[in-house]
Amino acid sequence: MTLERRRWVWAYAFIAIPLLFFLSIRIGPTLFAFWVSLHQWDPIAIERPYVGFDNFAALSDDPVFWKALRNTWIYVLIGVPVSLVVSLVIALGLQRLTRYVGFYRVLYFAPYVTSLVAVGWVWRWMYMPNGIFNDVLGWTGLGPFNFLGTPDTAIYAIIATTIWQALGFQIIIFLAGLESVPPVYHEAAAIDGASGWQQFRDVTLPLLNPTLVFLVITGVISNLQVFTQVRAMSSQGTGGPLNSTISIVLYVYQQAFQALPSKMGYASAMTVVLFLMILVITVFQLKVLSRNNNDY
Amino acid sequence: MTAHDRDTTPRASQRIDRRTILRYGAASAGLAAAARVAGPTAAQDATPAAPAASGFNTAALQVSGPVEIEYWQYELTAKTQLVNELIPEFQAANPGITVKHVNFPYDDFRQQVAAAVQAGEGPDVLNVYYGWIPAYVQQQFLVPLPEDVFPAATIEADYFPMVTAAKVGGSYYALPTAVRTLALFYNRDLLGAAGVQPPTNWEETVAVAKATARKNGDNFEVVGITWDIGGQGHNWWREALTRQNGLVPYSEDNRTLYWSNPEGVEAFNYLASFLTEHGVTQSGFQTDGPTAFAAGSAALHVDGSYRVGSLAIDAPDLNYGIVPLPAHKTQASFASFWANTITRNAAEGDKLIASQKFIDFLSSEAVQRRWTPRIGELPARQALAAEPELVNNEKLAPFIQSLPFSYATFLVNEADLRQAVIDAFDQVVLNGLDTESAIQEAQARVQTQLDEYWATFG
Repeated sequence: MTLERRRWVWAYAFIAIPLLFFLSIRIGPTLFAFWVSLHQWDPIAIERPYVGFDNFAALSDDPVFWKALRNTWIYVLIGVPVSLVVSLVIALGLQRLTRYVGFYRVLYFAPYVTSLVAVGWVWRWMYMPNGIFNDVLGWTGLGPFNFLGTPDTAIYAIIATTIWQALGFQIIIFLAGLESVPPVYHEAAAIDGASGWQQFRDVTLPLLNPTLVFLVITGVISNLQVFTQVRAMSSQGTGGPLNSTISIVLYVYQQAFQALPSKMGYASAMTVVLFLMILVITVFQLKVLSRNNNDY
Repeated sequence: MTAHDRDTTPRASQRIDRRTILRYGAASAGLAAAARVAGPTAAQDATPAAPAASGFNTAALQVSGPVEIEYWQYELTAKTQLVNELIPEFQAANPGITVKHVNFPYDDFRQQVAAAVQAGEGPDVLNVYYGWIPAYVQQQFLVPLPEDVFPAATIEADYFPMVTAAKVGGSYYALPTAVRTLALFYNRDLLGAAGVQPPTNWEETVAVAKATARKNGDNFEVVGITWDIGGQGHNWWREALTRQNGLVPYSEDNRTLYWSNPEGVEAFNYLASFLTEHGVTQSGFQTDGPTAFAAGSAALHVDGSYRVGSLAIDAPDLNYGIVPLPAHKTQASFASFWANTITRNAAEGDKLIASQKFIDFLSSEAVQRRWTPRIGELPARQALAAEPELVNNEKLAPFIQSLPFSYATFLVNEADLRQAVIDAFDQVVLNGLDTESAIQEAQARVQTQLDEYWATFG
């Protein structure tokens, strides 16, 4: 065996183990979900008849699915941009700090390492009609508002919690991105007379592009898969009131694990739709958002 | 007999019986063979030979050799401890039978069962929520309790009426050890401060809620009554308020819903009026009803007997009392229970025999007598309800008094039925939809499920 060939064998041997794990734990179940989605699948039933694309056809007639789809996009389209802007602003501020840097970073990162269920419940208590938010509003003569109990506001109350929770992660990534911008560019821009805003727009932001692409993609995916906060915070954990907060993944959970008899096939059809949606969006984002980056 | 008697029309019974016979013919044959093996005396004189404590005929059944059955129930420390004590007693009385006791968290209940069944494993005897029985029967997951061993007439004579919720298409599929009912919890300090007595009827309930509700500006400090539709409120309306107002919410064969009848609408309006008209309660106050009551921030709260146990832990100093639900034209309450069923894993042979013996044992008077003080659930057998120890228990007595008029809803999709009722209340109190339309919407949704369910039974 030549040296090169031996190297080649070793490389594949090392790759094989994680690959095997990935295939059996990730790819396998995904493909299995495709298979399940073509059946009327009840784990307890003796027969699980093949129904073709009936589950997908039924989805298109299901108003709750459309509601969940619409809500999921609200989670994405409001949650992702707002959290990115807020975390970038905080990251820019933190970068300028010279004292107690570690303390502030820990402070902002703490929510991210806290259990989402615990976060959800604490916020639920703060949101309730006699909770702290309404106490504060009460001083100004407003309220009380039942934030989570009103269909018009419940989803935004949950989005606010999601943003707060995700900030820590995004700030850390932004800080890493900012550190990687060589100071010489800023110095050069300053010598050329660029204002602070111009420096930010023309130097910082373009160089942050890889960071932004990463955060947009992970943010979109995690918001498309939003589940825990809705389960923990919506009234009775069912995506209420009146399905105003229900997300696709929560609806999948309800149909697969709470409905009797279990509609595993129907739920799998939804996961297939979600999978395709995430796939298309991620490929699109990689192509479009990264293009700028190649110019530099 | 009430509308909750699960006897369907003769035609329906025949249909299900035929299916059942086809499905479990082998099981019945095995049973008969086993009875013959046990000897002529056992087979012929089975009825009088039944042991004093049980009332069923399992003493005549004998296993042909050593057999192990798996018993599954969800994790609740008090229950698992007691069953762990009971199993050795059962094994000593029934040589050759071993029971393996499996527990898992309540939240994973149906996932665990489904996963195990899909893998070809799972329980022989399963402790199941009564509301899941119809769906499990539809899925051919449960085996009916053989009529010759557990005669329906005996069950209905010995148990409280809600036990009929375990009967699908003429056959019993499960027997409970204990049951729960709803009653009205009241905060003694809050009622005392307002100078009012616990209410006994609808009007008094409104008066007490008004007298006790307390606000600071626009914020409630104390709600007169909890608004807890997703907790017990939906059960309160569905089985108690409607019936108290003279409605029988289901047809006798459990195929048709009558929620939108005027009595049902009126009962719905009565419950909604606490929030909309009288302004004595608030949605989301202290997050939920039980929390608000435990915190001493609610004067009245409708809840189940199991709440007594959790209040003892969460709010040991709470000064509260319990009375039966306030009545109207008549009295009614909601009942629910966990019951022991035999799964298709034990459809025949020694496993079926052992499973029947174990279910008979778990629902015997002797076990029920020990169950109530340890678990806080109420005896399912009528004979035990008059026992002084229970009647004199201040906290349990109101629930026990409610047993004869408590009804368990026939549920084909528990989660969605609950959601349908929650949505109806939300439509009215949040979206201002008129009550009749909201109830009709919910009724149509649940009626569709019932139609689909019964259609599978041919």
